[in-house]
Amino acid sequence: MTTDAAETTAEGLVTPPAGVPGGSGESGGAAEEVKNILSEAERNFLSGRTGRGTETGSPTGAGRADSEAADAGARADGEDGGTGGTDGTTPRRGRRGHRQENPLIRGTLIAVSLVFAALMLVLPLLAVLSQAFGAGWDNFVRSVTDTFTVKALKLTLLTSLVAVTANTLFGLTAAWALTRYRFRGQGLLVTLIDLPFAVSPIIAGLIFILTYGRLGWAAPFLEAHDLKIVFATPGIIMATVFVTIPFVAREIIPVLAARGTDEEQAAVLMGAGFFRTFFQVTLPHIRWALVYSVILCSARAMGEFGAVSVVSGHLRGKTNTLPLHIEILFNEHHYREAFAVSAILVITSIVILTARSLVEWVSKKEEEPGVR
Amino acid sequence: MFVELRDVSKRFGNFDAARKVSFELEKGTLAALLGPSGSGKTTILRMIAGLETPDGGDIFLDGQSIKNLEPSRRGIGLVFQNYALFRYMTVWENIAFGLKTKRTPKAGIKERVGELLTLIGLEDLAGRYPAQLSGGQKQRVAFARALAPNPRFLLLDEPFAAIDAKVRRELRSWLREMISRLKITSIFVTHDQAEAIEVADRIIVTNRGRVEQTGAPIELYRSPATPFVARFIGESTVVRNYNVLTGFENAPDGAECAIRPEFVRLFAPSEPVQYENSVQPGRVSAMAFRGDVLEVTVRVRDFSLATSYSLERPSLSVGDQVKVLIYRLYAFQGDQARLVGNSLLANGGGGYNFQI
Repeated sequence: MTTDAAETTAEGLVTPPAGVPGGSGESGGAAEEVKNILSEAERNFLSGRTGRGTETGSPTGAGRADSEAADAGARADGEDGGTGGTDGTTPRRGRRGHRQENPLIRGTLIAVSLVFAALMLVLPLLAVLSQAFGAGWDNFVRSVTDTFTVKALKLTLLTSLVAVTANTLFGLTAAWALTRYRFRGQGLLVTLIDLPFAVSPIIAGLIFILTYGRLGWAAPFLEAHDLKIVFATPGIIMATVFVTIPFVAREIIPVLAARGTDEEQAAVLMGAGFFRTFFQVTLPHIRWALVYSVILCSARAMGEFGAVSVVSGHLRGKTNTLPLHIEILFNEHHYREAFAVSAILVITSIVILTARSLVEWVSKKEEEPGVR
Repeated sequence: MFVELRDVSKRFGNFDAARKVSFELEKGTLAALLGPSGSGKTTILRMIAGLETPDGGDIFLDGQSIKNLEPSRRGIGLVFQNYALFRYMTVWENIAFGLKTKRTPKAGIKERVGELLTLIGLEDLAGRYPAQLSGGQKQRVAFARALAPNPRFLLLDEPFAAIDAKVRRELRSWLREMISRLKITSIFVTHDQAEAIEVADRIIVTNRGRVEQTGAPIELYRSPATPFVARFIGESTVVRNYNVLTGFENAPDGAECAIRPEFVRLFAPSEPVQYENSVQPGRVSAMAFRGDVLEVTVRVRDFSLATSYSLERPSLSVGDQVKVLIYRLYAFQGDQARLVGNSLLANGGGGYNFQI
């Protein structure tokens, strides 16, 4: 911008906050789009490293290693690359010379990636499913419809629902505040949002025990009002919220920051109120990022084990979520049941991943409405 | 006065974006806010629109202070630099937006949008999304969208900056014609002096947060009030210690001045000059053909002065000795600029008061 004065957008937010894997995450189809954010040096580095992978858009070993967070970051950037599309310069396009690479190296690299993925990812999943259904359909149904399993499932769903709702609201609010206003503690908030990624789950659980447990500083107040947080549903929900805080915010912030405030200012100038501006101008732009992040957030919320394990207390039928229930079944040598219940989570994950790919595909198609 | 800014100031951190900015505009004027980037022009525009709050001073529109009025109640239309069209709305919806927020009845919206689409000549593209439009079309839509709620004052932020040079000329005259047809008071921001001179009735020159001078384009060109305006508007060569030039010996040592190409006249050695003592020797150091005239750079003392030379005159070539007459120049004194004539000419270099 050639404006004269300091701009009100928080420029530091365009790149995903540093210190977290995924800031320069290179993964899958999104790789093609990551251009505005990465510096040229990074781009060359990445393209040199992943070679054909960047061109074909196939997931590479390097990209996969970066956890879901990498996906979140890279995809947000991708969205920017597609819609913002300020400069179309893509030095990477010019690097097709890698085609003449030694076929032996090419074959080896592909084989290693595939074998590694098969051993580490596919085989265990198949093992779970085969164990789950190994003793027949009836056995599976019996394990899954067991009272305690159903209660654990209900608790898991409730926890996920509350956690995802809370984090969606928080994520939108924080992203809006961070990209639209300037305030003291802005940098701190960005860092705080990333905290759960950096903190071990056991700490995430312990902090709630230390805060709300019997020895915690909130204990007198809680006891006086007969409120139970730790070893009860509220604690489980809070631990889950804590662990999944970054998902929505981290996804929305770069999209909002990259987009600028012009359209919203135009709307305000024309007399639109906050809600009209948000729903008609802002939301259409971030809707896919939002759906995508909610999906990831749900996946994580349902599967969270560590932090929840610490605050739950493992009361069967009361404070057991599905992951905890599986652990108990396994520890009690009920292997068939454990695998059957695991299958629920595995199948849920597959459904969620499919949904995620679908959202990615649809959002790519719709990035620029009508252009195509 | 229809628009008046009185001592408007704005600071960002320790950067003065606007320092006691004052100017007035009559109703129906198309004014340019001209200045280099960082001179505060966009900030001034945004303060008028209400997107920034001034730290001091006041802004009046039609005699009424609008400083504390909400942006949407000021009756001002703003065309953003990059148009800021709503990406997820069609052309029609974009133009209708400002009417819907004002709870205009449906039939009224339909009529007004249709009217504006006809005005900008894009009736056929009503169903398109901004991404499907060319730069020029986007600009027209942004213009129509700003006009939809019938603003009394229109602001345009660098309206031609994002458009390629070819279309820009065409759009300039289109916009000029639109605005004069609608008789709406307007200000547009630009850093291009040629654009300001060509399009605007009045130019407000800003520099480092201050208004340097306000006036009709020809006034600014003919009598720049400050060294900045003398340099910024039109072509000129700035020289130091100009008291070595014949006819300007009275100037103080170390003083600076600006010399326009048309203030310099060259004579071939054979040509008679009426006031022989008012010329000085020079040497042609470069020549370029500019279509209808020759652009000649002449070396006088240590200065390189640019001027034009008619093809009808005796021929010249690089290296030739010439007689150089400097009629007048803009002498700088502190932050003032003043027209000074050649003291050796009969009328003292006066008679510089052409009108159009």
